[in-house]
Amino acid sequence: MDIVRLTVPGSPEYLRLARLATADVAARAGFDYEQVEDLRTAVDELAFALLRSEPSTLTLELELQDLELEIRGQTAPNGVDEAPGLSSLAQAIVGAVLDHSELGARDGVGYFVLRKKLRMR
Amino acid sequence: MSSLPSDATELFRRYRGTRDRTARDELVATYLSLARSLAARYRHKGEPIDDLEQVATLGLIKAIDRFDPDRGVAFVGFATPTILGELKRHFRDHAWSVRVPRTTKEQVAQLRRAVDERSHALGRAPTIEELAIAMGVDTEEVLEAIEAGRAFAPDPLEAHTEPRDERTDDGTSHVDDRVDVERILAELPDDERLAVELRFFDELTQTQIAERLGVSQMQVSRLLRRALVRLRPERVVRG
Repeated sequence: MDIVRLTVPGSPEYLRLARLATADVAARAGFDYEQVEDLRTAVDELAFALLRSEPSTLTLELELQDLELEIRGQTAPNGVDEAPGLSSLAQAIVGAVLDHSELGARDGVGYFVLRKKLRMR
Repeated sequence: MSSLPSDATELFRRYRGTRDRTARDELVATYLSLARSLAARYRHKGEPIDDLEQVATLGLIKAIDRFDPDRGVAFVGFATPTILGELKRHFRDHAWSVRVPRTTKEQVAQLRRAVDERSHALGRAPTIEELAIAMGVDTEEVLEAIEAGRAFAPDPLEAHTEPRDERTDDGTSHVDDRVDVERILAELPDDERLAVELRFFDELTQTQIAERLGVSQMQVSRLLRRALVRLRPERVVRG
Protein backbone atom coordinates (compact mmCIF):
# COMPACT_ATOMS: atom_id res chain seq x y z
CA MET A 1 0.00 0.00 0.00
CA ASP A 2 1.23 3.52 -0.74
CA ILE A 3 2.69 5.53 2.08
CA VAL A 4 2.72 9.30 1.81
CA ARG A 5 5.45 11.11 3.77
CA LEU A 6 5.42 14.81 4.43
CA THR A 7 8.09 16.71 6.35
CA VAL A 8 7.45 20.35 7.21
CA PRO A 9 9.27 22.88 9.39
CA GLY A 10 8.14 22.64 13.00
CA SER A 11 6.02 25.74 12.91
CA PRO A 12 2.22 26.09 13.07
CA GLU A 13 1.91 27.90 9.74
CA TYR A 14 2.87 24.66 7.97
CA LEU A 15 -0.02 22.73 9.49
CA ARG A 16 -2.06 23.77 6.46
CA LEU A 17 0.06 21.35 4.43
CA ALA A 18 -0.55 18.63 6.98
CA ARG A 19 -4.31 19.20 6.76
CA LEU A 20 -4.27 19.30 2.96
CA ALA A 21 -2.22 16.10 2.71
CA THR A 22 -4.54 14.41 5.19
CA ALA A 23 -7.63 15.52 3.29
CA ASP A 24 -6.17 14.41 -0.02
CA VAL A 25 -5.14 10.94 1.16
CA ALA A 26 -8.45 10.49 2.98
CA ALA A 27 -10.46 11.58 -0.06
CA ARG A 28 -8.51 9.19 -2.32
CA ALA A 29 -9.26 6.39 0.15
CA GLY A 30 -12.99 7.14 -0.12
CA PHE A 31 -13.63 8.76 3.24
CA ASP A 32 -16.71 10.96 3.13
CA TYR A 33 -16.83 14.69 3.75
CA GLU A 34 -17.51 14.42 7.47
CA GLN A 35 -14.75 11.87 8.00
CA VAL A 36 -12.32 14.02 6.06
CA GLU A 37 -13.22 16.93 8.33
CA ASP A 38 -12.75 14.68 11.37
CA LEU A 39 -9.31 13.63 10.21
CA ARG A 40 -8.22 17.17 9.45
CA THR A 41 -9.37 18.30 12.90
CA ALA A 42 -7.56 15.43 14.62
CA VAL A 43 -4.31 15.90 12.72
CA ASP A 44 -4.45 19.60 13.47
CA GLU A 45 -4.90 19.05 17.21
CA LEU A 46 -2.32 16.28 17.56
CA ALA A 47 0.29 17.87 15.31
CA PHE A 48 -0.13 21.20 17.05
CA ALA A 49 0.43 19.47 20.39
CA LEU A 50 3.74 18.11 19.08
CA LEU A 51 4.81 21.58 17.97
CA ARG A 52 4.70 22.84 21.55
CA SER A 53 8.21 21.47 22.02
CA GLU A 54 9.38 23.61 19.05
CA PRO A 55 11.00 20.83 17.02
CA SER A 56 12.92 21.74 13.88
CA THR A 57 10.65 19.57 11.73
CA LEU A 58 7.49 17.51 11.88
CA THR A 59 7.09 14.43 9.70
CA LEU A 60 3.78 12.79 8.89
CA GLU A 61 3.29 9.36 7.38
CA LEU A 62 -0.12 8.56 6.00
CA GLU A 63 -0.96 4.97 5.19
CA LEU A 64 -4.16 3.21 4.26
CA GLN A 65 -4.31 -0.34 5.64
CA ASP A 66 -7.34 -2.58 5.26
CA LEU A 67 -9.94 0.19 5.03
CA GLU A 68 -8.30 2.06 7.88
CA LEU A 69 -6.19 5.18 7.57
CA GLU A 70 -3.23 5.39 9.92
CA ILE A 71 -1.38 8.67 10.32
CA ARG A 72 1.87 8.81 12.23
CA GLY A 73 3.38 12.11 13.27
CA GLN A 74 6.90 12.51 14.60
CA THR A 75 9.06 15.46 15.53
CA ALA A 76 12.74 15.75 14.74
CA PRO A 77 14.75 14.66 17.80
CA ASN A 78 14.88 17.57 20.20
CA GLY A 79 15.40 15.91 23.54
CA VAL A 80 11.75 16.10 24.53
CA ASP A 81 11.12 13.49 27.20
CA GLU A 82 7.64 14.43 28.34
CA ALA A 83 4.49 13.44 26.49
CA PRO A 84 2.74 16.49 25.10
CA GLY A 85 -0.62 17.07 26.77
CA LEU A 86 -4.02 17.71 25.26
CA SER A 87 -6.61 19.82 27.03
CA SER A 88 -9.59 17.87 28.28
CA LEU A 89 -11.83 19.26 25.55
CA ALA A 90 -9.27 18.62 22.80
CA GLN A 91 -8.91 15.10 24.15
CA ALA A 92 -12.68 14.63 24.02
CA ILE A 93 -12.80 15.86 20.44
CA VAL A 94 -9.91 13.71 19.27
CA GLY A 95 -11.45 10.73 21.06
CA ALA A 96 -14.78 11.32 19.38
CA VAL A 97 -13.54 11.63 15.82
CA LEU A 98 -10.96 8.82 15.78
CA ASP A 99 -10.95 5.08 16.35
CA HIS A 100 -7.54 5.21 18.00
CA SER A 101 -5.03 7.84 19.03
CA GLU A 102 -1.76 7.95 20.92
CA LEU A 103 0.28 10.99 21.80
CA GLY A 104 3.62 10.63 23.51
CA ALA A 105 7.37 11.02 23.60
CA ARG A 106 10.08 8.42 23.24
CA ASP A 107 13.85 8.73 22.96
CA GLY A 108 13.71 12.49 22.69
CA VAL A 109 11.10 12.44 19.94
CA GLY A 110 7.46 13.51 20.21
CA TYR A 111 5.00 11.36 18.30
CA PHE A 112 1.36 10.62 17.63
CA VAL A 113 -0.43 7.75 15.96
CA LEU A 114 -4.04 7.97 14.87
CA ARG A 115 -6.32 5.54 13.12
CA LYS A 116 -9.72 5.94 11.56
CA LYS A 117 -11.76 3.29 9.82
CA LEU A 118 -13.44 3.95 6.51
CA ARG A 119 -17.21 4.17 7.02
CA MET A 120 -18.94 1.83 4.62
CA ARG A 121 -21.83 3.31 2.68
CA MET B 1 -28.61 55.19 26.94
CA SER B 2 -26.12 57.89 27.75
CA SER B 3 -26.61 57.61 31.48
CA LEU B 4 -27.09 54.70 33.76
CA PRO B 5 -30.70 54.04 34.81
CA SER B 6 -30.92 53.71 38.57
CA ASP B 7 -32.37 50.20 38.33
CA ALA B 8 -29.44 49.24 36.10
CA THR B 9 -27.06 50.62 38.73
CA GLU B 10 -28.66 48.37 41.28
CA LEU B 11 -28.37 45.42 38.91
CA PHE B 12 -24.71 46.17 38.29
CA ARG B 13 -24.08 46.36 42.03
CA ARG B 14 -25.91 43.12 42.58
CA TYR B 15 -23.98 41.40 39.81
CA ARG B 16 -20.66 42.79 40.99
CA GLY B 17 -21.36 41.64 44.53
CA THR B 18 -22.79 38.22 43.83
CA ARG B 19 -21.94 37.35 40.20
CA ASP B 20 -25.55 36.24 39.97
CA ARG B 21 -26.21 35.02 36.41
CA THR B 22 -29.80 36.26 36.53
CA ALA B 23 -28.59 39.80 37.15
CA ARG B 24 -26.11 39.49 34.31
CA ASP B 25 -28.79 38.19 31.96
CA GLU B 26 -31.01 41.15 32.84
CA LEU B 27 -28.15 43.53 32.15
CA VAL B 28 -27.47 41.84 28.83
CA ALA B 29 -31.14 42.23 27.90
CA THR B 30 -31.06 45.88 28.95
CA TYR B 31 -28.06 46.73 26.78
CA LEU B 32 -28.58 44.27 23.93
CA SER B 33 -29.69 47.06 21.62
CA LEU B 34 -26.28 48.71 22.08
CA ALA B 35 -24.50 45.51 21.03
CA ARG B 36 -26.80 45.09 18.06
CA SER B 37 -26.39 48.65 16.85
CA LEU B 38 -22.60 48.34 17.04
CA ALA B 39 -22.75 45.01 15.20
CA ALA B 40 -24.89 46.63 12.51
CA ARG B 41 -22.02 49.01 11.69
CA TYR B 42 -20.20 46.03 10.19
CA ARG B 43 -23.13 44.48 8.37
CA HIS B 44 -21.74 45.23 4.92
CA LYS B 45 -18.39 43.60 5.57
CA GLY B 46 -19.50 40.19 4.36
CA GLU B 47 -20.17 38.51 7.67
CA PRO B 48 -23.65 37.22 8.61
CA ILE B 49 -25.37 39.70 10.93
CA ASP B 50 -26.29 37.01 13.43
CA ASP B 51 -22.60 36.11 13.80
CA LEU B 52 -21.74 39.76 14.35
CA GLU B 53 -24.48 40.15 16.94
CA GLN B 54 -23.18 37.14 18.82
CA VAL B 55 -19.66 38.58 18.82
CA ALA B 56 -20.97 41.97 19.97
CA THR B 57 -22.97 40.27 22.72
CA LEU B 58 -19.83 38.53 23.88
CA GLY B 59 -18.16 41.96 24.07
CA LEU B 60 -21.16 43.25 26.00
CA ILE B 61 -20.86 40.43 28.52
CA LYS B 62 -17.14 41.15 28.98
CA ALA B 63 -17.96 44.81 29.57
CA ILE B 64 -20.66 43.91 32.10
CA ASP B 65 -18.20 41.63 33.89
CA ARG B 66 -15.64 44.44 34.23
CA PHE B 67 -17.90 47.42 34.88
CA ASP B 68 -17.84 49.13 38.26
CA PRO B 69 -21.06 51.19 38.67
CA ASP B 70 -19.57 53.23 41.49
CA ARG B 71 -16.78 54.80 39.46
CA GLY B 72 -19.08 57.43 37.98
CA VAL B 73 -18.56 56.33 34.38
CA ALA B 74 -21.48 55.80 31.99
CA PHE B 75 -21.82 52.15 31.05
CA VAL B 76 -22.40 52.85 27.36
CA GLY B 77 -19.17 54.83 27.14
CA PHE B 78 -17.37 52.06 29.00
CA ALA B 79 -18.85 49.19 26.99
CA THR B 80 -18.63 50.61 23.48
CA PRO B 81 -14.84 50.27 23.06
CA THR B 82 -14.97 46.75 24.48
CA ILE B 83 -17.71 45.68 22.06
CA LEU B 84 -16.02 47.35 19.09
CA GLY B 85 -12.75 45.73 20.09
CA GLU B 86 -14.44 42.35 20.09
CA LEU B 87 -15.91 42.97 16.64
CA LYS B 88 -12.58 44.13 15.24
CA ARG B 89 -10.84 41.11 16.71
CA HIS B 90 -13.47 38.91 15.10
CA PHE B 91 -12.76 40.42 11.70
CA ARG B 92 -9.04 40.19 12.22
CA ASP B 93 -9.16 36.56 13.29
CA HIS B 94 -12.27 34.92 11.91
CA ALA B 95 -13.70 36.73 8.96
CA TRP B 96 -12.59 36.52 5.39
CA SER B 97 -9.41 38.44 5.08
CA VAL B 98 -7.54 39.78 2.09
CA ARG B 99 -5.66 36.52 1.78
CA VAL B 100 -8.84 34.74 0.66
CA PRO B 101 -9.61 35.62 -2.96
CA ARG B 102 -13.21 36.20 -3.93
CA THR B 103 -13.30 33.14 -6.18
CA THR B 104 -12.24 30.99 -3.24
CA LYS B 105 -14.89 32.58 -1.08
CA GLU B 106 -17.50 31.76 -3.70
CA GLN B 107 -16.21 28.22 -3.91
CA VAL B 108 -16.54 27.78 -0.15
CA ALA B 109 -20.13 29.01 -0.33
CA GLN B 110 -20.72 26.62 -3.23
CA LEU B 111 -19.18 23.79 -1.20
CA ARG B 112 -21.50 24.46 1.72
CA ARG B 113 -24.53 24.41 -0.53
CA ALA B 114 -23.32 21.20 -2.18
CA VAL B 115 -22.74 19.50 1.19
CA ASP B 116 -26.25 20.42 2.29
CA GLU B 117 -27.89 19.40 -0.94
CA ARG B 118 -25.99 16.12 -1.36
CA SER B 119 -26.35 15.15 2.32
CA HIS B 120 -30.08 15.64 2.02
CA ALA B 121 -30.35 13.78 -1.28
CA LEU B 122 -28.13 10.85 -0.27
CA GLY B 123 -29.20 10.60 3.36
CA ARG B 124 -25.54 10.43 4.37
CA ALA B 125 -22.40 12.53 4.16
CA PRO B 126 -21.23 12.86 0.55
CA THR B 127 -17.77 11.81 -0.58
CA ILE B 128 -15.33 14.37 -1.87
CA GLU B 129 -15.82 13.01 -5.38
CA GLU B 130 -19.60 13.38 -5.12
CA LEU B 131 -19.11 16.97 -4.01
CA ALA B 132 -16.74 17.61 -6.90
CA ILE B 133 -19.35 16.34 -9.37
CA ALA B 134 -22.09 18.41 -7.74
CA MET B 135 -19.92 21.52 -7.86
CA GLY B 136 -18.60 20.87 -11.36
CA VAL B 137 -14.98 21.08 -10.20
CA ASP B 138 -12.21 18.55 -9.58
CA THR B 139 -11.57 16.98 -6.20
CA GLU B 140 -8.49 19.11 -5.63
CA GLU B 141 -10.64 22.23 -5.74
CA VAL B 142 -13.05 20.69 -3.22
CA LEU B 143 -10.14 20.01 -0.87
CA GLU B 144 -8.89 23.54 -1.30
CA ALA B 145 -12.38 24.90 -0.59
CA ILE B 146 -12.53 22.80 2.60
CA GLU B 147 -9.18 24.20 3.67
CA ALA B 148 -10.16 27.75 2.69
CA GLY B 149 -13.34 27.36 4.73
CA ARG B 150 -11.02 27.26 7.68
CA ALA B 151 -10.78 31.04 7.46
CA PHE B 152 -13.77 30.79 9.80
CA ALA B 153 -12.56 27.75 11.61
CA PRO B 154 -11.07 27.62 15.07
CA ASP B 155 -7.53 26.97 16.13
CA PRO B 156 -6.61 23.82 17.98
CA LEU B 157 -7.82 23.88 21.52
CA GLU B 158 -4.31 23.16 22.62
CA ALA B 159 -3.31 26.71 21.86
CA HIS B 160 -5.59 28.13 24.47
CA THR B 161 -6.25 25.69 27.22
CA GLU B 162 -3.85 24.59 29.86
CA PRO B 163 -3.14 20.92 29.49
CA ARG B 164 -4.41 18.88 32.40
CA ASP B 165 -3.24 15.43 31.75
CA GLU B 166 -1.94 12.42 33.52
CA ARG B 167 1.06 10.50 32.32
CA THR B 168 1.00 6.80 31.84
CA ASP B 169 3.98 4.56 32.24
CA ASP B 170 4.65 4.28 28.53
CA GLY B 171 4.99 8.02 28.09
CA THR B 172 1.61 8.54 26.48
CA SER B 173 -0.87 10.92 28.03
CA HIS B 174 -4.53 10.70 28.76
CA VAL B 175 -6.96 13.12 30.20
CA ASP B 176 -10.11 12.39 32.09
CA ASP B 177 -11.54 15.59 33.38
CA ARG B 178 -15.16 15.77 32.43
CA VAL B 179 -15.80 18.34 35.15
CA ASP B 180 -13.41 20.76 33.46
CA VAL B 181 -15.12 20.19 30.11
CA GLU B 182 -18.52 20.81 31.60
CA ARG B 183 -17.32 24.05 33.12
CA ILE B 184 -16.05 25.18 29.72
CA LEU B 185 -19.21 24.08 27.92
CA ALA B 186 -21.39 25.94 30.41
CA GLU B 187 -20.17 29.15 28.82
CA LEU B 188 -21.84 28.30 25.50
CA PRO B 189 -25.33 29.22 24.31
CA ASP B 190 -27.74 26.29 24.54
CA ASP B 191 -27.81 25.41 20.82
CA GLU B 192 -24.02 25.39 20.54
CA ARG B 193 -23.55 23.42 23.74
CA LEU B 194 -26.06 20.85 22.56
CA ALA B 195 -24.30 20.51 19.21
CA VAL B 196 -20.91 20.07 20.91
CA GLU B 197 -22.27 17.52 23.36
CA LEU B 198 -24.01 15.50 20.67
CA ARG B 199 -20.96 15.58 18.41
CA PHE B 200 -18.08 15.03 20.80
CA PHE B 201 -19.66 13.21 23.74
CA ASP B 202 -22.59 11.30 22.24
CA GLU B 203 -20.43 10.94 19.11
CA LEU B 204 -23.24 11.50 16.64
CA THR B 205 -22.27 12.55 13.12
CA GLN B 206 -23.12 16.03 11.91
CA THR B 207 -25.83 14.51 9.73
CA GLN B 208 -27.39 12.69 12.69
CA ILE B 209 -27.30 15.86 14.77
CA ALA B 210 -28.92 17.76 11.92
CA GLU B 211 -31.74 15.22 11.81
CA ARG B 212 -32.21 15.36 15.55
CA LEU B 213 -32.25 19.14 15.70
CA GLY B 214 -34.21 19.58 12.48
CA VAL B 215 -31.58 21.79 10.87
CA SER B 216 -29.19 21.37 7.95
CA GLN B 217 -25.84 19.62 8.28
CA MET B 218 -24.06 22.86 7.44
CA GLN B 219 -25.99 24.61 10.20
CA VAL B 220 -24.63 22.00 12.60
CA SER B 221 -21.14 22.57 11.22
CA ARG B 222 -21.66 26.28 11.75
CA LEU B 223 -22.83 25.80 15.34
CA LEU B 224 -19.79 23.64 16.10
CA ARG B 225 -17.38 26.12 14.55
CA ARG B 226 -18.94 29.00 16.45
CA ALA B 227 -18.80 27.05 19.68
CA LEU B 228 -15.15 26.20 19.27
CA VAL B 229 -14.28 29.75 18.32
CA ARG B 230 -16.14 30.98 21.39
CA LEU B 231 -14.21 28.60 23.61
CA ARG B 232 -10.95 30.10 22.39
CA PRO B 233 -10.81 33.66 23.58
CA GLU B 234 -7.20 34.13 22.61
CA ARG B 235 -5.83 33.11 19.30
CA VAL B 236 -2.40 32.41 17.95
CA VAL B 237 -0.94 32.93 14.51
CA ARG B 238 -1.49 29.80 12.53
CA GLY B 239 -1.36 28.45 9.03
